[in-house]
Amino acid sequence: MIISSKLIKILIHMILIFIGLIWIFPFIWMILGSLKTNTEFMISGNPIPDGFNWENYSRAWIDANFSAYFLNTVIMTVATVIIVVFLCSLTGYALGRVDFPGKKTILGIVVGIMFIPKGYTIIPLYELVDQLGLTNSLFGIILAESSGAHTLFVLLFTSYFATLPKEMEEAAIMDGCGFVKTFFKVMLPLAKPIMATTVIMQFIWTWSSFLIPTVLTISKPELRTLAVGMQNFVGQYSTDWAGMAAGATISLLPVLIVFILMQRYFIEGVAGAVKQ
Amino acid sequence: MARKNSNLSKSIKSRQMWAYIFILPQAIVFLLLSLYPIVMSYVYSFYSWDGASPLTDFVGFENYTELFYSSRFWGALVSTIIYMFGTTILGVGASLVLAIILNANNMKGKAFYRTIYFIPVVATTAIIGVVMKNIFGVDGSVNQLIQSVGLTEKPIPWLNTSTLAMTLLIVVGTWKNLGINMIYWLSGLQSIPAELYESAQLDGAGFWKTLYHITLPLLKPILLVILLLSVVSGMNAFDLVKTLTNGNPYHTTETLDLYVFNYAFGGGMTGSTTRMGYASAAGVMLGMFTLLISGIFGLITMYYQKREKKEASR
Amino acid sequence: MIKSFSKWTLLLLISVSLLSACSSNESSDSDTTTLTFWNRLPELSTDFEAFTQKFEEENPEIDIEIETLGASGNQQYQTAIKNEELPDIFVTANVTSMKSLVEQDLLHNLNDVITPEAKEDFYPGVWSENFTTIGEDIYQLPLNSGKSSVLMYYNKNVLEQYGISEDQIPSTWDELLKVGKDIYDESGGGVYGLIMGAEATWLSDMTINQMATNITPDVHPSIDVARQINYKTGNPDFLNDGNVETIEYIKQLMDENVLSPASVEYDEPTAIANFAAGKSAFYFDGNWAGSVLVNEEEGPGFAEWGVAPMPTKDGGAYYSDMVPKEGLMVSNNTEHWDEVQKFLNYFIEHGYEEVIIKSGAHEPPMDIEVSDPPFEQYNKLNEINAQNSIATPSIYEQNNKTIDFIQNYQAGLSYSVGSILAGHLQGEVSDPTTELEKAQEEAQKVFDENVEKSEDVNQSDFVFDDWVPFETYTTE
Repeated sequence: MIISSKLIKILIHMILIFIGLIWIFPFIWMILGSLKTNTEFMISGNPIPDGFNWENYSRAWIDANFSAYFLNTVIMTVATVIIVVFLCSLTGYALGRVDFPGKKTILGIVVGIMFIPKGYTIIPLYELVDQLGLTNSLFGIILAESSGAHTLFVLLFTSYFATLPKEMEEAAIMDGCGFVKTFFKVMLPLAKPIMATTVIMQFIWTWSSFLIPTVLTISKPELRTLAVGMQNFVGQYSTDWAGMAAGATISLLPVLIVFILMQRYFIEGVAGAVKQ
Repeated sequence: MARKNSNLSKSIKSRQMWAYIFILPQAIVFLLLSLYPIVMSYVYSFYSWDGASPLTDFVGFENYTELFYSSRFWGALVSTIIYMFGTTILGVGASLVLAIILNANNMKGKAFYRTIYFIPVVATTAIIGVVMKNIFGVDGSVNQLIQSVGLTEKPIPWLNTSTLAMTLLIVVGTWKNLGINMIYWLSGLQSIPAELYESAQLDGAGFWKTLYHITLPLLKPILLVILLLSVVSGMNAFDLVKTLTNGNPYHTTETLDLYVFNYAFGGGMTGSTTRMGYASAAGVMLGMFTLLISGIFGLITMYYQKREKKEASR
Repeated sequence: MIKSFSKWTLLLLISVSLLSACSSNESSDSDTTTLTFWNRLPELSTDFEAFTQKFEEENPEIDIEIETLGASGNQQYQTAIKNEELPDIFVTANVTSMKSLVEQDLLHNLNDVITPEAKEDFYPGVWSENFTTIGEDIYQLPLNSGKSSVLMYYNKNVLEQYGISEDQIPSTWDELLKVGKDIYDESGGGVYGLIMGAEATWLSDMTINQMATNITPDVHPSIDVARQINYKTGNPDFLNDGNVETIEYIKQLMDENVLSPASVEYDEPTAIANFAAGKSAFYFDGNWAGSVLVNEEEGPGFAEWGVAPMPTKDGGAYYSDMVPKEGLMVSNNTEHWDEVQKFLNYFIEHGYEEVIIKSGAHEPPMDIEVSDPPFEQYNKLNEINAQNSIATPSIYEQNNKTIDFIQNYQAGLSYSVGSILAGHLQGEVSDPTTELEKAQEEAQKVFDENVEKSEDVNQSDFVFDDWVPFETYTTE
């Protein structure tokens, strides 16, 4: 589709920029807030700080232990993303390319799971991880974070793999590749767009995931993640708002970077899957 | 010939075996880490249990009957449904407009705008709630602005009036998720073959005509996906509600997820004992309602699809 | 992309295995014993940290890992109790009763630390069933005297600016209304008479409860909604003149521009910050708020304040109950009982001075002369607080089966007076009397059901005929 009139185009740009500014105002407000003193934060509605209190950042990074949390979060998120991509691409490949008895049932289950009524699941999840002996290590959190049915991702992979031409697979077999090798060497690399989609979405979710890491790190504060560490600023009766704003700014950046780097693949990925 | 056949069936067998092996890891992770906790939460809902002492006091359906007679629970259900409808309708519509603009071939700066409008999606919801609460407070930036411009004399109590607070929740919730819906729409738009537009242009169809006759009809499948995802996420609004309004004023914006949390962790009243069993029952009910609403929704679409097919075959 | 993925995986596997290796080695190859310690009281966090550091210096073989719990503290306690993973030492949890913890065998009794002789040093009021003791055994080392009431703080700068001397500080409702209106008018709407942290409904709950005792003294004030019982009738009593009049009075304050309308959005710390910034002349908060006001890190670091009792309808007294709710408990699963004992003894010897008095947030549970008050208002604050805090009958002492009863009864309650106030101030509850009626109806129903259900608890367990409100109650 083409928008032709020049005037309309300029108008649209102006509107987009104006709304865009309002759109990101809360973030500008947050970043400015991260430079206020805590008292200033609580008593003043003026978004512009009186002075630049960079020590909020050092307080977040050092005193509130964000440097360690940052590393934990990176490890947890990256590992979870890899596991999820791995699990979903395998399942998606099997469902998309192989006819086997029970395939329809499994597909039905994958979709149906989205609607299973869940009660309050965090306590049994904790018990389970505890019984596996994995509380108190990042691995337990990673495993718990990787749980879930991942309906959307599985379906994306399934429909994507289903559309790849048969000849590609046959050529690989001619070259002497087995089922597994074909998948890893030929087919999976073709699924980049879907992988990007999965990576971005899972990255966002895991990065800011709160309840699971909170509960699983109750006795191991050194394993906490950024989202959980944010709570260090919130006491039961007092809150370090400025420090929290600084912490929030720190934790926003990586996700933003991942999105900017991968957004091209991301849209393609969803588009590729929707075509079918 | 027969040999070839058996070879073929052997290779099919091996493919099938591999398929099962490929599904296995996902299945294990799911059964263990997802299904087991869900089943356990059902079990809890039949106990009177504070979440800390031993699980001994089996009460049957007592938690459910108590829920049935709790006006606060039904209020929370209504709030949840209002929020779900509000964010779905507002979000799906607005994101479509944005996506159409950003999909125009000759638009400059597409990637830039996409990033801008996507930022809220990547931000942690709980932080958004805290920030918005400050911005829309009685002495927050928004009130200062409208007071200094002279629109009102007294500050507007955005967070202290039930209708305003709910509206604010819906607007912020929509704002937060608009970017992801925009991406879904964009992907749908990009899957429309360019030839269709070219031939439409040759036929002399204008922007609106093309939109109405080509674009929108072809977006129907993706609309379904977006609606469904919006409904499910709208039914499970927690982080934002907890941090932005915390159910205030007077429980009028308390969603079911927040209700569950308040009982599970006794956040509602000081010194109050936590009620994990009751909260689990409320959680199960929330799931049931989500299932019900998605089900109704599915039936409606099926009905329309059938009707369309009939019309097409005529 | 694939390549980088596999690189990442490798990196991750290595780091994960390193991390888990680290955590398993930690305890085995050192001579020091590590005690874990959870503190959920932020007003004490700074001083607790300094205190444990000093303890470690004097006892290099013991390492105290102190953690201040944040907003998810309740979840942490819950999970820890459920999985029997409580830390060696912890500040009393808010999630379940002491009795239930003892029945689950999770608490170590402290009889060896607080011997009968050591017990003599404490105020006798701190030994209270289900708070510090179960029967003859002690399970909690009290952190404070249990004296805790809501007071009125005033901003000296604001008073000075509007020409109000300290003996004109309002002691009746009418006086507060008048002074507040004057300040608002004179400041052209910039400064209010009063700020409350009404978003913290627990705080409003305490405020109303205690103010109401001036009007309806028979209704026992308590931080636990379930223990707000009329000790003369032995019934829940939400719909009483004290509650109704107090809620309506506060609403009147807001309607007449005495109470800042932002109060319904303020939680406690935000209210404190705005009060310190001179946005109001007066502020209602608990006795611990003084320590927050002067705190430079956790609070606004504000010194120009004074404190007085809250105004009441007729200017007379009000009271709060005296319950040693917060203390130190020890997990029964501790593997280092000797070290824990050492720490607790050290705390009894130095902690009350170096943590409790130094923070200024509480009054210690024993008579310690304060040679160097943490801030100048400390003694006056404690004096007023002590006048307001009066020992009242304990239903738990009368019959300890009421502990479970209260827990079950509280679980069935969904209203609190504080939330009704917030609803009324926001205009969502148009008539507080109707709402209190609903609260009363619900409470009475749940109460009666539980009396019927439990074999060992009778309504007479909640009646105290020999009790005279405003007089110190003793069982002897």
